[in-house]
Amino acid sequence: MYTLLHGFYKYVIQKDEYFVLILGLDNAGKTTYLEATKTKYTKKYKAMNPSRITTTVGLNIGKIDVDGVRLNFWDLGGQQELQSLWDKYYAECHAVIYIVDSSDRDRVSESKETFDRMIASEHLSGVPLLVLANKQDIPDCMGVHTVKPIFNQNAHLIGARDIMLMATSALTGDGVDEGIRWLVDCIKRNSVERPPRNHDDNL
Amino acid sequence: MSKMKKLTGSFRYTQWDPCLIVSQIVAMQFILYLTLSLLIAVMQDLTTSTRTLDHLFQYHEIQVKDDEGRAVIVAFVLNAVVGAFALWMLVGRTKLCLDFSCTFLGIHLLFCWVYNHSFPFTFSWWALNIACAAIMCVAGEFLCLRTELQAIPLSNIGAKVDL
Repeated sequence: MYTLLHGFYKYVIQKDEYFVLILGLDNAGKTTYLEATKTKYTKKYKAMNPSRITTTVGLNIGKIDVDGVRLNFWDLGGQQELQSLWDKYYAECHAVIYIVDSSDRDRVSESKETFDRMIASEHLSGVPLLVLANKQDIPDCMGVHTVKPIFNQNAHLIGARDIMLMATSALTGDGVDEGIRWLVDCIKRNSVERPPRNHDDNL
Repeated sequence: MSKMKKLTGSFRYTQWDPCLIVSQIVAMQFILYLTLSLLIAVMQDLTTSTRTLDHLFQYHEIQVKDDEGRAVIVAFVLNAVVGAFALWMLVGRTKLCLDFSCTFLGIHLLFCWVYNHSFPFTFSWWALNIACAAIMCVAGEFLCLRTELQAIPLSNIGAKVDL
């Protein structure tokens, strides 16, 4: 009787789980963005000191509960050598956050190339995409109006998917909330093509 | 119910399965009442008393003063041992033995309550039933543990597995 009632209770309070990838060039601010998200949505979370965040080798994982849904973040390392690992995660993810360093004008074209290569993957078709122009707290950075045309050049590659470009600052936490809430709405809308993890047959 | 999918293969499925649990509870209850009735019938013949359902459910039948009561107690204890085998065969999982024993006790309590139109406040009833539940649980766990700790044979011995 106890297993029956306990299982029923767990079944009733079960939440859908979705996986979100955080990609971008190295030093774009992905891990800082993950920390900012965890700070915003987890009660009593002691964020890591931003100056102690070093380059990610492998990946970082984060989990938040927002809007009745559980999001698991995979923050992958952005270094050139680690980018070959990205496509292993494409088939399992439900959304992608692509972070661009707005203050680094020299590497924008490199970021654009990486973005194109990521978009072209067929495992990511239809997946909602949130592009963030990060580091807006730095005074002399590119705004959304500068970054948007650069990333819109190959608009035909983007295809039919939800996509939004936003300005954020991971250090101050601006723009994190709207981005995440928009992303959750898109994931829920897309849950027919990419159902949440607990509906999978493989579990 | 669409989330409760059966996994193919011989390993037990990890999802919560209410249909299985309910059918196990019902089966346990039926089998244990059947064996209890048979045991009590045998005991009644041995002590040459009349056959009545009172022996199963009536509170005052459980006593050590005369042969009848003692026979009822012996029948209950033997039934607990049979119950351990029933647990082993129907449930087969060590973790769930306590759960199913308590469920049987609870349902028996309900039946006795309805039959007697009063809640059992007698010490003898509680002592007997808790002792039987304990015997059933411990013996059942022992049997299930023995089976669960056996080595699992792999079906393709000799074939190379690509790890």
